[in-house]
Amino acid sequence: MKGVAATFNSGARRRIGRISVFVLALALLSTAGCTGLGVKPWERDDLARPMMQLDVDPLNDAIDDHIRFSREASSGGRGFGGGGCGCN
Amino acid sequence: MQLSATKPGSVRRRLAAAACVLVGATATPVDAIEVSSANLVYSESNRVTVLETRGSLRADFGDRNTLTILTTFDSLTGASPNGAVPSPLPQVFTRASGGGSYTMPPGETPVDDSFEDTRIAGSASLARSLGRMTTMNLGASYSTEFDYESVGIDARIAHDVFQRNTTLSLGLSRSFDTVDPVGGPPVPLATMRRGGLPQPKAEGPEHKAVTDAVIGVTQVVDAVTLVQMNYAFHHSSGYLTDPYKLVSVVQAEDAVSPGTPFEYVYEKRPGSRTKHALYGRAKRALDLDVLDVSYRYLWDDWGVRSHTIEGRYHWEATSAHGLEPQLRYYRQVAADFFAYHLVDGAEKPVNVSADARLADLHSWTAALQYRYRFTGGSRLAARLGYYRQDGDGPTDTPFGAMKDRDLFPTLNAIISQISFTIGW
Repeated sequence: MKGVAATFNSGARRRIGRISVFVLALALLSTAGCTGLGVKPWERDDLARPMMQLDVDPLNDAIDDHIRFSREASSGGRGFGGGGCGCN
Repeated sequence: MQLSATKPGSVRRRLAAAACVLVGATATPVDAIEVSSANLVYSESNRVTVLETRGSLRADFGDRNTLTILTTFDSLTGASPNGAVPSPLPQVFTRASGGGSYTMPPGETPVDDSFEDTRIAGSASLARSLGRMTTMNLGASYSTEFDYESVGIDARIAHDVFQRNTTLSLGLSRSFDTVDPVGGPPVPLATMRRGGLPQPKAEGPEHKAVTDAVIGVTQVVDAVTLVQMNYAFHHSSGYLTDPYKLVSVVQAEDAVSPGTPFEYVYEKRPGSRTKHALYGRAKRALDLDVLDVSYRYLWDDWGVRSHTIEGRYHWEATSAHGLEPQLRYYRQVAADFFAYHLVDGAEKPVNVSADARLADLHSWTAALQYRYRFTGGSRLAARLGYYRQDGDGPTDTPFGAMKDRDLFPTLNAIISQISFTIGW
């Protein structure tokens, strides 16, 4: 029982550790206003280009997600990992 | 049928009217309308072929208020592995419906060649600005196929801060699925009856509830660089078993024909699954070109762990022509209850699946996409890709007839796609 608890604790610790690192990264990004990251509105020429958008090909992304959802055990991350089809 | 020339303005007015009726905003003028379609042929060598058509209509009402309608139609035909391992002897399987049998020659990976399905799905999503810095998205979706139905709702809120250099977002979705397998859901872990006899079936249909949440930050780093970080949570509960998958039971090491399959049981998966994913992405403009890289780490309570790394380079050859090589690598660790087969006499597991998608595996995708931009702003793209998936070896040491058998034949697939976008 002690061994099970130890395994659980080490697994839980690892998971908490991973999430903590991520939360820290989010916090760092969120404080970007104070750290010099970012640009002024008039410096957004390149960022405004269609190819620089994160959802430049939403239908292609949906097709890719469907193929991978059907053939691999992972899904989601970029967006929802739900599914809505009986392909997996 | 009488054909008549239609002016683009009239098409726009009709689409705008349809969009306005849908949002109940008859007095709201439509600033722009965009219609897109993506058409896929996914073809696995000696396995399934999928034809898929996706369409979208996006009406922009100005001030970040948009309505998006998506439709999907896909049809799947071909042979799908049934989970059983190859045998030195011919193997006879009863079809999932219990109606008839099929026989696999010695040494071949058993596949059910009667696999076919058609899916129709649609979704609508309305984005509305809540003030200058906040956008909210509400959506609903429906999907139906012969043995599966899904109804879902979703919501997403995004808020810009620091002169729009940082976007914080939160998305939630919930779906309710119904699984109604051909011939009814088989009793998990029950033995398949041979000779096309009716199979041991449980009461159907079965149900599944899925909850997803994504929290993310998008950050402008400098005038040419954008990064995104997401944490995604997924929980599904209910019937997560694949009703069409079997697990072979092979003779023990000390039997007359060790390793030879002699019966098959229906698989059984846990009644819930919780997944977590950390996702990071960066886009950088390099003069007119764009580099796009991403990484995802995923883990779940089934024991699956996976790494995914993907890169795309958009080469803007001219203002009209673009070429985009794409490369993706994926590796996963098997689910705890995955087994290529069971051994006669061993303790019966609580859950077991021989579905290769839950095995130790890795895959590569390489693709090349060509883009063409018309002078009016409409776009055309064609993509040709190759997907290859290999197993990373059995978890147990194979013995007897299982030695030197290819338990995970390489999966090769060709991805061909054409998509276009027209805007008014």
